[in-house]
Amino acid sequence: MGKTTFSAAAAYYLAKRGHKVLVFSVDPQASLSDIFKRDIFGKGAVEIMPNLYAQEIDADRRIKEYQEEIRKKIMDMYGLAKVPEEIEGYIQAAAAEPAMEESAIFDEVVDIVVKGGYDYYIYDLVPLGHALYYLSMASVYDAWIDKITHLRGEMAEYDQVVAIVKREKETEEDKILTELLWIKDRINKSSSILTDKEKTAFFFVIVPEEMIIKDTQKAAGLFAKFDVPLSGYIINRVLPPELKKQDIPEYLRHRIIMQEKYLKLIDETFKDEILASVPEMERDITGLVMIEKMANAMFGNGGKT
Amino acid sequence: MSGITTNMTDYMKAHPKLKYVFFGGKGGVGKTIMAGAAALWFAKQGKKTLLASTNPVHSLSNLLNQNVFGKPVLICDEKQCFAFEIDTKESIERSKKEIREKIAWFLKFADITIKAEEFVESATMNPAFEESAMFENMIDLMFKDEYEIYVFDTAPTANARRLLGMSKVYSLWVEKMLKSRDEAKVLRKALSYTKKEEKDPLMDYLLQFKDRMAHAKVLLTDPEKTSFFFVTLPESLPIAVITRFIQWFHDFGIPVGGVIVNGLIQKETVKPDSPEFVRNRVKMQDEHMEEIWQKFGDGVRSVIPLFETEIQGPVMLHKLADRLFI
Repeated sequence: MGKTTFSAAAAYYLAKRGHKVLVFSVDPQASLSDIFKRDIFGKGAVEIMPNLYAQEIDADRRIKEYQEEIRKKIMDMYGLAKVPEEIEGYIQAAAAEPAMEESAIFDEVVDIVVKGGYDYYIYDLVPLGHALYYLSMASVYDAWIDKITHLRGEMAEYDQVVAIVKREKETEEDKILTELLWIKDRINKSSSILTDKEKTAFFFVIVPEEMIIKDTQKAAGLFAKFDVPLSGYIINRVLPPELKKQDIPEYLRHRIIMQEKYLKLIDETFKDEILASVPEMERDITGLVMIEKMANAMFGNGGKT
Repeated sequence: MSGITTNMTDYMKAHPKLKYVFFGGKGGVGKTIMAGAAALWFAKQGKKTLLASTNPVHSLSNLLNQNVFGKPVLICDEKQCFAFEIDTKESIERSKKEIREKIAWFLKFADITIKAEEFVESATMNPAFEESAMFENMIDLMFKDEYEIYVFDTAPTANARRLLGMSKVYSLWVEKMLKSRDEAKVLRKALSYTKKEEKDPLMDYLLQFKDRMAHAKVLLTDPEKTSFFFVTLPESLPIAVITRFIQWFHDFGIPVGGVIVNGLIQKETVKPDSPEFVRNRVKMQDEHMEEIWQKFGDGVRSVIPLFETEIQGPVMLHKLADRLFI
């Protein structure tokens, strides 16, 4: 539908105006490598032009890093030289968890945003489910960690006894608690970024087709439920209506008529939340020349309906 | 100009035992219409055929001009082609319910006073969850084995990749779970006064899951029975997507049937005085066709022209089937 293309075009527009921008894509269906015509997969933030950086996340590598981290923690905590085979099996198996890939991608996105260093961050939202999941997690996690902290308080006197008998035990527990607090802090930080109406904006891309209009309405409903700021809609692939007056192939005439019907529906459904209407281009949006054209259509007055 | 060496008909002749046919590709390239046309063709060859959609958002009823939601419905005169939109929402709701119960139990166990509802809602909104439900529905149909040919309108790309690419890890995971359940069971038995054997529903579920996955893997990697076809338009992003998918499938030993190019603008409809917009698109199309021949070569099975109107209804679909299987 053009999420990744619009992300690239918006990044281009902002970079041209002197802002330092990072755009990242996590959609396996359309990659920034394809759009910028450069292999950037798993290479970190790659400079595309002055101020414009692009990044494609390698989820498999991230998962491997998780596993390594877990191994290290187990060895540290228990003073082992090697992770026992029994536990190694579990670590390996964790990679098969169905949502692992998505979770790894989202985690890296959070990393990048929390770290800072850019004026703007732009990404296409495939891990949409995950973003919302994270938001609702925040409250569960808060409750859970409060609970644990509270229990630890209650157990303070036992701890003292334990500490005398076995000194390491105390440090072990504290490490776990520190880890939990770190996760909690991360979740809270990123969920506050996602719901910050001054700093965060979500745009939905739609094309004049029935199914897509319906799906978009559904997604917008979910956003509202989680109080995530939704900034507006961009219509993509609108066939130039003036073509209708010219001598064009039949297929094109039929498509224009069909689009007119759905454009009307879009107008009635999303009304003044429609920010731009971008025409179907004569060719694919790949390479900086076409991205610039796209950016102009998106931000220029010509695109406004 | 057609560089097709093995077309769809030849391919089917060379694969007489073919039973599971999938269509994959980027959204909006025409997977559903290709699946519909293929199903009609198989039925015409005298095979009892099921055209199935596991998508949460269905388009078969709309394509066929009849309601095929919820149960297989006869869709042609040959008396043996059926179409079926599986109620994915219902199966999602069912697993949501199961998860809700599990989470509620856990929260109670951990003494956390918070409503599970919102949490479950968001956990199950994860796209991976929806795809898993689709995948489960699909293999259920395959296992029932009531038809000679199954045509699916969407290839479960991510799930197939995960299942096959990680099947070693998958079974490792299930084995681990089984082992810990076993240990827990022994422990509970040792601790309880009554020596009565308790039934363990989770254990049964895991064992069943393990068998199902092993069975699915056997079917999906059988080159005689299974073929994944990839649909693309002569445009750069859909080509990039199927290039990636085909590579994955090769890596995991899933049989790829070939590539179908959809929506080729017919040059004779474009005149020298046609608007520049149209002429430019045709020029772009030429470049992408060259890329397609170069990348997929022998793998291209069919090039379908852009029809004057949207493919909709059985008449158009038969027309498309005739083009797809020249």
